[in-house]
Amino acid sequence: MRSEYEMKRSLQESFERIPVPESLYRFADEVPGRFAAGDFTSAAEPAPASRRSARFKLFKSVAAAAILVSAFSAGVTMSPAFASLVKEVPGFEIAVDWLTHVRQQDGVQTAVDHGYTPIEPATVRFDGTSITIDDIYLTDDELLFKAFIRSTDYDVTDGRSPVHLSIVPSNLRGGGSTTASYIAETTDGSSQPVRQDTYKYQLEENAVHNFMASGQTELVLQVSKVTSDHELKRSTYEDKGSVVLTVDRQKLLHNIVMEPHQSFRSRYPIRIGKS
Amino acid sequence: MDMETERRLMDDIRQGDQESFRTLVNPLIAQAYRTSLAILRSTHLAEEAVQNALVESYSAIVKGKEIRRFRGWFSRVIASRSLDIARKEQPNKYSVDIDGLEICDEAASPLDDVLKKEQCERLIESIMALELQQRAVIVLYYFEELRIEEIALLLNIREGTVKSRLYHARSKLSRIFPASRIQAQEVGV
Repeated sequence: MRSEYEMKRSLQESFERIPVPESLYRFADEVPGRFAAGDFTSAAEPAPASRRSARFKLFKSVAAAAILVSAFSAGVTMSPAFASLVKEVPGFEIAVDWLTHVRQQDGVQTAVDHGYTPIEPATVRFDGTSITIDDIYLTDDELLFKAFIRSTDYDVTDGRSPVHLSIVPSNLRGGGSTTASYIAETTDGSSQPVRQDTYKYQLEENAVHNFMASGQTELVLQVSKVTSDHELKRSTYEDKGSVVLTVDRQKLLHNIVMEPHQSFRSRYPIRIGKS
Repeated sequence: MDMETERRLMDDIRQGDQESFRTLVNPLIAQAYRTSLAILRSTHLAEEAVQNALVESYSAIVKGKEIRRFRGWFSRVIASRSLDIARKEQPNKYSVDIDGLEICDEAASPLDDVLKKEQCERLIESIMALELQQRAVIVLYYFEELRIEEIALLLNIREGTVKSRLYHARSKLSRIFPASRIQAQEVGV
């Protein structure tokens, strides 16, 4: 059947041109080690009665960040330009347009536009590496944040580098990982590469409730340097310190779920070819 | 990768050989991501679906699940995880973020380059413009090469419905993408 063959061939030829994120290969490398460490326990357990929801417990949609702003629907909305201006990343001079684009991709820009930034960013430095944690959102069952990393210790632009950083909440139990990574350059004239990793953690049931009930006001993220040795088939984790984020419970919204107030924009056509 | 190699790698994984997991799944990641992207129309959500499928695969292997043909099994897992996310995300209308997608240029000559790029652009656009039900069957049938009965099982619909959706999807594609010479006709199984 000629048309059948042509359809299949055309579709395969087209789709095989779509680039695949290197982060997925790195994630595959990490799965055995992280599985052994218990990172995925709750997600990987089969639950026949509610199979679908159990699997969602691993990495829920980034839409959560967009949904967070719903409580501000009757409030004042900042202009995107002003919001971007006031919501730059501390310690990093990065093109606002690029940052806005990244935030639009994961829904955070909507929250920023509405002035919803419940947890202030924080920066740590060790050796030749500087990390800023920003765009931090905590719901009843999820923690989302972005890590902006600049380093002279390893090549942040190399998705296949045997060295990378892992950032894990140490006083909120849950499983998760990076869900997207981008590379930008500083705009301070030095054009240093900046890696931006988006993290999403699905937190254990009652983890946030217990955190709040215990009176804690600091969310601690542990930073580890992970070095993979492919010949020895193992990864070593080196503790590099922690990032402490101050949590003001008065600023946190609770899961008021409404339709995100952003228009549904079709972005066709897709750009084809090298930029 | 043949069945015997897959079986040996899964045995090695159960023995604690982490490298074997990479060897087993790396050749499948690209297709899984592209399938998921076609279904979800979102690079972020596609990554999420593939990550979920990888964790589920590793868990199933180490727990001794009997997997006869890993490649086919993984195709069904990635389809399921993508459809799960699509169903969940659909009410939020949140899933179009492929604006920045850059298609690799692998054409052999400048003329070839222009024609191929245009053709690929139009075909991907056309497929992405289909509604989810039709997009999913087109991608699963032609790209993942799942059988009609497998797609029916995944979508929890009758085989006749799968054929019908394929027929209508192809009809639409033939209208908006005549250059591909796609003809709408019943899918023979």
